[in-house]
Amino acid sequence: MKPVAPAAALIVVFLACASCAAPKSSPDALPDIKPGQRPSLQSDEAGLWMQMDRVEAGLRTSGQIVADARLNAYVREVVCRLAGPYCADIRIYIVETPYFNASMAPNGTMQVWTGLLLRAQNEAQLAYVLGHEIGHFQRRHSLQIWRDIRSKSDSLVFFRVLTAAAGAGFVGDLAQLAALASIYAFSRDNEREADDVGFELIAKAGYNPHEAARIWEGLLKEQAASPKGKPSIFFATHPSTEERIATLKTRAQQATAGGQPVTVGKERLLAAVHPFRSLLLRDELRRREFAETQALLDRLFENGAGLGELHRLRAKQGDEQKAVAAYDKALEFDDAPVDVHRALGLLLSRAGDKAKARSAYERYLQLKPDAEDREMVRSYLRQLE
Amino acid sequence: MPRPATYALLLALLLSGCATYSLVEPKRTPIGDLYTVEPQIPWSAAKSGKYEIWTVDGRLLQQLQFVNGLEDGEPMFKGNEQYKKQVFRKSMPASDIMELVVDGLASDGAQKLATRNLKPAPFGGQPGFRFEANFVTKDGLEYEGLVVGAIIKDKLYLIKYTGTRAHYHPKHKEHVERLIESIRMQ
Repeated sequence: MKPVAPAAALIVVFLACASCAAPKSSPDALPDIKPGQRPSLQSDEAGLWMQMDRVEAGLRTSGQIVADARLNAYVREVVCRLAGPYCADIRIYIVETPYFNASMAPNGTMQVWTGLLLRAQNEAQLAYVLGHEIGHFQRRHSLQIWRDIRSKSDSLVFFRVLTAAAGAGFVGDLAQLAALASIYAFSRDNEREADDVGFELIAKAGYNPHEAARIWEGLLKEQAASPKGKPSIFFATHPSTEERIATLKTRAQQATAGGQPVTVGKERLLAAVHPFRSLLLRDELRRREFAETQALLDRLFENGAGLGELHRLRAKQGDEQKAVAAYDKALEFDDAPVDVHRALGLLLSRAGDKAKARSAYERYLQLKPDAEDREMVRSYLRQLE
Repeated sequence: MPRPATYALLLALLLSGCATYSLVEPKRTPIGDLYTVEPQIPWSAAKSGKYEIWTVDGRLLQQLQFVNGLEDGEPMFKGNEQYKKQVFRKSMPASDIMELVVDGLASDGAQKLATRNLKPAPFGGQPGFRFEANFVTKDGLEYEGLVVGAIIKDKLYLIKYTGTRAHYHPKHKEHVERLIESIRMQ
């Protein structure tokens, strides 16, 4: 079990990326951190870094880390393209969790959640979010939040919530994190500053700045589809999505007025993320937030990928037929997963279409004769006799 | 800290004051109302409603969970909001039940979940299924799992054995296999 205090501290910093601290224009603003700079050992900043270092050591062995070398190299390449001289100061950890987020600790620990990798439609969109996090690092927002918290009279309340959140696990229980975030919902100016930095970094790196607004537009659609109507953790402490989109669109128009060539990088992102798409989709579907996921799938895939699984899992009235139709459509594509045949067989069997169910099972066994569940599928076939 | 699949259930039991452990002696023992088993060794058991959790060395190291007679529309596990979305349906084939169990593990924070060897297997003489699973906790601790189950008279019965891959799962795996073989309908 990890010590509570460091875990709690990291949660503060997770939320530092989503909250607090004085904007650069404020008299309380700190000077930017310099590339390669480490805090003086006597400073409170050094204490904060030390705690982050300990937490980072735990993160390295966490079961949530996606260790794939190629994917990590790809994300690192994008970060370094943006961060320039700060590249060597940033260590990236891809965390397997289906929610949209990224975060930055003051010691250079960057977390990129797989929910972000699933949702980014191109490299420019991913770069914008990563640039935002780099902005927090450069501006030392975490240190500012650390100092703000310590000076606040509500620190007791803060630590109570913090302890509860830390006890919920490394990344923390999402509801607890949201509660913690709400304490600092007043500090959106700082987020705007990180937005500005992120925007400047992607524009400077030659990415199409119009993509910055597009990723928020996609998230807004997911949010609108949710029956709960609650904003995600990321939204809770960030400027309103509508405000953000409007600001980014205006800035993008200004930035591209000169007509310079820009990169979107759709193929590059897809090439890097495609081997993980099934895994990320499965994690997303496990949330069982079907309305949000449907909005996401509609945005991501023109071929209806994932819809069959969504309808099968939701299993409301009419979903079985929709799932069968989605699987049938998926099988029109050459790269359809073999498992689609088995899923189709199960649905058709339940619907009483024995002939088609048998055909689907037989096709599955034909294409995957060594399937781990071949005995089970053969038993399904026997049940159809 | 390892958080096996029934962490939330145990937490609920503890909060409700019902998680008193009692000794299960190595003799024929009823599980719910449907069947009996004959354990080879003594276990400590906590019971609540349709659920029982047995352990020898501590539930975070290894545990044997019994789900007794889940009805159509009931969540597979209890304890948090996410579990409520993971509902058993009597029409579910074994593949879907396996998915439900695995999703429950994922809701508890299990990572890198993998299942293998789903196959038909008798459950006290009734047609049933079994599969194996492995996963990693958020802290990176590796676990192994073995699940057997059956739908009998539209109700789901499961036995799920999980434990750390190093030492604690293998330590009593044979005992669990023999316990499964000993299932006898009442």
